[in-house]
Amino acid sequence: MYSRKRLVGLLMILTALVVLVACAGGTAPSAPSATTAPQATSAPQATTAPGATSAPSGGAVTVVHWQHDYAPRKKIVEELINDFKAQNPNITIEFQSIPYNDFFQKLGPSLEAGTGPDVFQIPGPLVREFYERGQLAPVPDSVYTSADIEKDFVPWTVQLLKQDGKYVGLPTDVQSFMIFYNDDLFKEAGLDPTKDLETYDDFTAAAVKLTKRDGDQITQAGIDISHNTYQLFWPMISTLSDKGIVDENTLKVTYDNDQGYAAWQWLTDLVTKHKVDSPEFLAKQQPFELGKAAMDAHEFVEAGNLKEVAPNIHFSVHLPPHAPGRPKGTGGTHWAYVVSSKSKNPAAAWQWVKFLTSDAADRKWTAGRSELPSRTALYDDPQLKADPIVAQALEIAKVTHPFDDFGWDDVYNIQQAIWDNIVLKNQDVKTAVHEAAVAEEKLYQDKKLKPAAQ
Amino acid sequence: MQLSLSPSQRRALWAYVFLAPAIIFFIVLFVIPVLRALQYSFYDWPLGVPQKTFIGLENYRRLFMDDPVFLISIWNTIRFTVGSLVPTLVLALGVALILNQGLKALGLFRTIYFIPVVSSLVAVGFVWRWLLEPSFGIVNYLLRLIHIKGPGWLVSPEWALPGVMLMTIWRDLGFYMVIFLAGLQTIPREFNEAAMVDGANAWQRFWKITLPLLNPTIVFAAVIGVINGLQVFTSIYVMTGGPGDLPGGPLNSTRPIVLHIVEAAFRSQNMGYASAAAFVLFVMILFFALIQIRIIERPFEY
Repeated sequence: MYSRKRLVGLLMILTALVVLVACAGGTAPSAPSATTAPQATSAPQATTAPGATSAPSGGAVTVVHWQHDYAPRKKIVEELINDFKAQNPNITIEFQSIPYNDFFQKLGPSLEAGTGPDVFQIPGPLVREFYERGQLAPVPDSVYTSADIEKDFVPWTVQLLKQDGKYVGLPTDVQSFMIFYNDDLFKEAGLDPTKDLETYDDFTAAAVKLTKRDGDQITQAGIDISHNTYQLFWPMISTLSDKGIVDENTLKVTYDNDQGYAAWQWLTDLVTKHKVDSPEFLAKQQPFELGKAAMDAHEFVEAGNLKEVAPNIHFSVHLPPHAPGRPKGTGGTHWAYVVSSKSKNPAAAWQWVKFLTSDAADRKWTAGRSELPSRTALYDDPQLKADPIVAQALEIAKVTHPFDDFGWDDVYNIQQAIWDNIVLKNQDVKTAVHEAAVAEEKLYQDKKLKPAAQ
Repeated sequence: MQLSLSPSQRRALWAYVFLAPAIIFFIVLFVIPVLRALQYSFYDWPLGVPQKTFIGLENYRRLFMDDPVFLISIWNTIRFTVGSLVPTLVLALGVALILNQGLKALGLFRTIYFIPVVSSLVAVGFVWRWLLEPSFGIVNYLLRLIHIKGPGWLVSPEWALPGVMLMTIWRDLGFYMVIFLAGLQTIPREFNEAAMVDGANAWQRFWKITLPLLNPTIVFAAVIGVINGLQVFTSIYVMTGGPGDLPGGPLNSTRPIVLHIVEAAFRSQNMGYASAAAFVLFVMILFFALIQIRIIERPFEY
C-alpha cells in the first residue's frame, strides 16, 4: 500500500509540475500586459517610445501587419510590400491576411497577450474604443504632423481618427454609400439613368415604376433593399444631423426624433406600403447582380465587384436621396491603419503605414475600383477620372459624411432591429426607433466610452 | 535506492506512463483553460485593458437580470435541440429498422444516408439557403405544387429556426441511423424468433423486445445529440449570416448560446462576461446529460 501511495504521490507531483510549467507562460490577473516582442528579428528601435521622431535606421526590423482578408486588397498590399522593401531594405513586412470572421477573434486576445501585430486595420468607428483601451500609438510627428494630416487627407476620412487632439491612425478602405442604377432597366421603364433621384418622393416614385410583378409575386425589385439594408439606412442616418449619428459630447444618438422617425417611415414604407421589394424576394441572394433589381444601395467597392461577377450589367452610381430640409450628401465608412501601443518598432511601423496611405498607394487602391481615395490630391486627378464610374464616385465622395457611430457589428445589429421590427413584426416606427436609440446609448455605457466633453 | 514494485504495481505504472501524454494534453489544453475561464467569469475582464476587477457573481447576475438576448438565446438553443433531435432520433430509428430487415443493398443505403454527415457543414448550409429561398427555392416550389404557400424560412423570425432544424435533421439522420443499426445488430436474433414462436406480432416485438434492448444505444444517441444540440453554432452561423447579414437573425430568432458567448468575447471583448455565459452552458449540458442518463437508462438483463 505504501508503495502505491508513493506512486500516486509521485504522479501527483508530476502532474502539478506540468500544470506549473504550463502556467509559467501565462499572465497574472493583475498584470496581463506583460509582453513579449512581436516577432522582431532585431530591434534597434525597441526602446523608442510610440511617437518617436526618428525613422528606423541600422539593423533589420520586422513589422508584423494584419488585416482581414479580401482578395483585391490582399493583392495590392503584397505589391506595396515589394515596393516598400525596395525603398526600405532594412524593414521586413510580415503580412497576414486573416478571414474576416476570425479577424477580431485573433486580434483581441493577441493584443492582450502582447503577441499581436505592429500594424493592423480596424473600422474607423472602433478607433475610439481601441484608443480608450490604450491599444493605439499616436502618429509621430516625424511621420505626419496633425496639420499635415488635415491638409493631405479628405476631412471626413480622418475625423474619427483624432483622439484627444492627436491622430492615432491613417485612413484606408474609404467607401461612400451610393445608389447603383441598372441603366438598361431604367431606360426600359422610361426613366433617365443619368439623373440623381434627389428627394424621398422622387426615389419612391422611381422605385415603384421599376418594380415588376407576376400576380402577388415580385419578379423585379425596384431596389434591392431587404438584402444588406444597412447600405441604405447608414447613409440615411449619417446625413440627418450636422452632429452626425452620435453627439460625441453626450454619446446620445441624433435619430431619435421626428426627423429620424420620418426618415425610417419613408425607408420602411418602400417595402411595407409601396412593396418595391420584399424580404422574401431572392432572400439572402444578390438580386441586383442577377439583373433582378433595378437599384441597389452599396459601398463603392460594388463597382469593382460588378465588373467581376456581372460584367453584362450596365450601371451608373448616384447619390442617395436626402431628407427634407437637409443638404445633398451620403454616408461613408473607412477603416484605419493603426499601430499597436505595444509595438516594439513604432517608427518602422508608422513608416510602413505612411507608405500604405501615400499618394502612389492611394492611386492603386482606387484604380481597381476597390475603394475611394483618402487623399485630397487625387480627387481631381484626370487619370482616375478617365474611368466614368470612378469620376461619378469621386463627386459622391466629396459630399460624404462619416458613419460616426462608436461601434461596428454591434451597432449594426441594434439598428437592423429597427428595420426588422417594423417590416417583419409590424412594430410602430416611433417605438422601434426609440428602442434602438436606448439600446445604442446603453451600448456606449457598457463600453465605458467617455463623452468628448468630459 | 531501488524501487521495489509488485507485478501489479509495475503494470499500473506502465499504464500511467502510456496514459501520461493523453492526461498531460487533457490537463494543459482542457482542465487549465476551463479553470482559467471559471476565474475570468468572476472578473470584469475586458481584453486590452490592464485592470481586471474582481466582481464576484455580477457577470452571472447581468446574464439573467440585464440581458434579455441571453435568455432568448437559451430558449432558442433548447428549442433547437428538442426540435431537431427528437425527429432525428425517431426517423433514424425508423430507417435503421427498415435497413435491418436484411436488405440486399444495405451498404448502398447506409452510404446514401451517411453522405450528409461527412459533407462540409458550411457547403451544406449554403445549399440549404438556396433550397429554403422563399420565392424560387425548391422547398417552397414543392409546397406550391400541393397548394401550400411556403413560409419565409430564413428571413422570417418564426420560421428561421425551423429552417435550420430541417437542415440539421437531414444532416444528422445518417449518423444516428448508423448508431441504431449497430445497436440493432447486437440484439440476439433468438429473442425475436422466440417471440414469434409465442405469437407476438411485429408491433409487440418492437415494443417488448427491440426497444428495451436498444435502450443503451438510445441513451447514448440522446446524450450525444443533446450535447451537440446545446453547442449548435456553425449551421446557424452559415445559414443566417453572410456578407452583410449578422448571424442569429432575424431579430435574434436563431441566436444560440454559443454565438452569444463568441460575440461577448470577441465583439465586446469582454472575456469575463463571455466566460460566465460559457459556464452557464456547461452547467446546462451537465444537467441535461445527467437527467437523461437517470431517467432514460433502465437496467435490464438478458
